[in-house]
Amino acid sequence: MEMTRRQLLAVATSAALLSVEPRIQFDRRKSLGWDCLILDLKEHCSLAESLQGYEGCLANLGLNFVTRSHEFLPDVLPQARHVVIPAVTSIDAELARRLLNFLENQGSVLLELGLAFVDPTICDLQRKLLSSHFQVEAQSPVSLRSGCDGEQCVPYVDYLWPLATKVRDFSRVVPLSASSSKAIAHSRGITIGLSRKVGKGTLTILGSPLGPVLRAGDQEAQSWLHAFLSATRA
Amino acid sequence: MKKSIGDNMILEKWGLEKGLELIKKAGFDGVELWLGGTPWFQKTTTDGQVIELLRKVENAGLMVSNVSNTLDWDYPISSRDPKIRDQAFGHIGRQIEVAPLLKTDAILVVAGLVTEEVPYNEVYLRTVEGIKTLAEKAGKAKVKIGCENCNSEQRFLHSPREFWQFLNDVNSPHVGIHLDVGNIHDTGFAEQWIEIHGPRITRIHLKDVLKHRGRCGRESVYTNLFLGDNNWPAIRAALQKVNYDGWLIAEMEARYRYAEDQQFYDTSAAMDRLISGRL
Repeated sequence: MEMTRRQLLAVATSAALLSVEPRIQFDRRKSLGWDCLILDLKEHCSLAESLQGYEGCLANLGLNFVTRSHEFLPDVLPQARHVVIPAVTSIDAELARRLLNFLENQGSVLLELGLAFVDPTICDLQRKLLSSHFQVEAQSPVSLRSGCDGEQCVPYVDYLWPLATKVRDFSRVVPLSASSSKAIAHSRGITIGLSRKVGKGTLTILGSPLGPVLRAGDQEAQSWLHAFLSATRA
Repeated sequence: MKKSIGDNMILEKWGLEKGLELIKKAGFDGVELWLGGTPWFQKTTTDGQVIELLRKVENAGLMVSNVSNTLDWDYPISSRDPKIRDQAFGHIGRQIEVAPLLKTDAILVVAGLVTEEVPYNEVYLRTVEGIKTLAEKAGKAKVKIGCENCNSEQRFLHSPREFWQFLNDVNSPHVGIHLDVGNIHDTGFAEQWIEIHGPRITRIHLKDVLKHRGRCGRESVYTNLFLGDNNWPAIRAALQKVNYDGWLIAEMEARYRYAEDQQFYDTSAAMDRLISGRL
């Protein structure tokens, strides 16, 4: 896995900070800006606990973040460095357009898919939208537990970037693929995390929910999120 | 203390009425009704049918000691899948609704299920939050939720202090422990659980356990009263110490292979000996 010097420093710094002092301070893009905007898609977020997990983790990290729902996006988006969208089940064309515009202007979007817990019809529709808007191919959700037993059932997702670490899987995952993107996470040979440049920004998609694991206090998940925010900040 | 036994002990070939008659004849005061565990008491059973069920219980000269369910194992409130959690809230909510109709103030739930897939920390958070939510509904219905200690089977809340902390985190007067003195196996001592939880005990399940053997596949380690390794004099003394005067409910896993009705008489007689202290 190739890593730029900047990314290496970001990861090393975040690991050191997490071990001695969890509260860190990011530079402000604007005086009233936020390091991170958590987008609450309400009924289109399939796991409320995922949203809580990101909120709790960002608070622990001492980051300046805000949680807002879809309708406030025009006002808050220009003031954010990162947008985190937990357990997404539906993205409409308007939201996709705003996110793409944000990405073009150096933003970072972490899109966590919540499609593994919705009806197959909704899932199929959203897979098409992901493909048309973001050029990401999402497959039908799979259970990591099916067909494995005993010792073969190692319950971890291997994250490769920006921090190599193991985080507990969330059972049902959405396999991902996309051209001109890098795989950043996999489990049992299935790619479930992708990152790609869009304009001047970075779009990262997770097919295995990380938020609930953050909420449960998983240290590796927290370290990964911190490293991710450090590595992708504008 | 009053004696009860589960309606899931009634053989289908007997039917409810005959089963209730046997329970009364064997000397029990009440019956524990298992939602989802018998043909006569399902989630789809209407309020009218529930009232009719109570009428049959009362006609047999019995009371309903509590409402339990067999559904938590397949639909736990700690599931990762929100749809399964919704089903769990549905059946536990139904228990809360029917308890007053059945003139009882206690329900049993198996709260939280740690699996290879769903780890302890996740289960703990979801279970605390789920039970807190249900506690509000229980409070309005004047019903107490008794979370059972299925220590080994749940792989959750293994020690009495751990369970005590869980109840502190739930922090509701409408939630306590439905203590099963057989479920502690060789991880502890039932009498110590009784002492620690005292007034928080909503009901007590009685069975004996063969300690030091673990579970071996589907083999049961549970057995009839006084056949296992529980220290019954110590259990009785602890119940007296904490002034427990509520229901004792027999929960026999292993069934008699022959003369099935005899198990009701033997269990009732053993409970009499425990209550009277003739041990």
